[in-house]
Amino acid sequence: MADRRKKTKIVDSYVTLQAAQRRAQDRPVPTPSEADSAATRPDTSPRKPGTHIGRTVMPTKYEIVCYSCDFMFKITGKAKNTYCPKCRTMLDLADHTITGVCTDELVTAGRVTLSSSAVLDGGRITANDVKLEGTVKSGHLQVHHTLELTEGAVIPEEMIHTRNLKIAAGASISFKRKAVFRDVDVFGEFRANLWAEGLVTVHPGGHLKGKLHASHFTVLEGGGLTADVIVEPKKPQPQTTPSPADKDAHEDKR
Amino acid sequence: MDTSTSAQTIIAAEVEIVGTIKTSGSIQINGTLDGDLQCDGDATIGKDARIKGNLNVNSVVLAGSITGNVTAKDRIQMQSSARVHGDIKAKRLSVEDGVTFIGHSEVNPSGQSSASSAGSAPKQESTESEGKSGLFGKK
Repeated sequence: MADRRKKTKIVDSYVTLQAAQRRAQDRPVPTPSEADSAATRPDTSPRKPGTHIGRTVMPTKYEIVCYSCDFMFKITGKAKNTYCPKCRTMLDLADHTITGVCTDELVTAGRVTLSSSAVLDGGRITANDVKLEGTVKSGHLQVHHTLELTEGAVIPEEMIHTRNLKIAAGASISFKRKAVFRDVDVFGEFRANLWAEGLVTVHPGGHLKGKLHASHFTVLEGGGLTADVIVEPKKPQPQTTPSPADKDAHEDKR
Repeated sequence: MDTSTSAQTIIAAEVEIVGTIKTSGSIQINGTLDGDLQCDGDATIGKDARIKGNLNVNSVVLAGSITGNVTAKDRIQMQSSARVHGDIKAKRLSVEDGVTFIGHSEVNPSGQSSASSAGSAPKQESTESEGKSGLFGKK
């Protein structure tokens, strides 16, 4: 890490702007007489050799799941479309907001927001992320990455097909069936028999109730937990080095 | 070591205690305790500590292994190395990723009783949504 910092010789606009602002805040505006004397005075402050700023503003990375082959990859920054690196399908990354009754088919690798007045009735939505504020009556809702359930969300449990789940602040969601997801973020109230393969995070203001079975679990200060909990991180599998006999057998096969 | 600002009592790693510890101050346990701990102050259970018994404390930082129930008046903080087999009860809780916890938890920082009813479908009342968030934002 330290070596990387030494090698970096980047001063970008963001850092320059920050430095200028800091300088402006720190120094009082000099009077004309002070300014004149400062101009004649030689700069005696030692200059630090090799002082470089190794910080750049990196564009955000987004996780995209191909709706054709389910391959997950990351893209940097915003784009209108991209190709799946695995199956070469061109993926539409456009975001959509639905405000009325949806009976059509919508396929995107972007984000779909079903607003509070939206009703999915017989339509078919496939998206990377879905924010549900409205109602899902019938049809098909396939979420490849994260489904966010907000305060007004109404959706039958059996219609939830998502990898990750987010319970928004203010929402109060109850699941009767066993709920299986990868990552779960709880900002609101969530009552479920939850089985998570990834990380469950209870954020400040969030409350998880019911049963929890996960390997990774985090409660941030201010989060609530009223549940029967089984949290056991999976132990890493010991790497078995092949014995000399195995190696010989392998070579013989070749 | 200056213990005036941290724990008043320290049970070192090589110490094993069988019985109940009662203290009005704060305590740090790095050794083994086969019994209960009743502490009016703050308790710190070190990484190598092993406790078989119940903890009744004001607040506790857990990094070691505990087989028993933990009750805190204020706060339970579980660090990533913590292994808890038992029930926990506190006003506030923070859990780091990596903990092993098997038991029942009762932590409600808001102090409100649950008003939600279990239904087959997620349901809710009001329509006002929270702030826009997400990967791409709205179009």
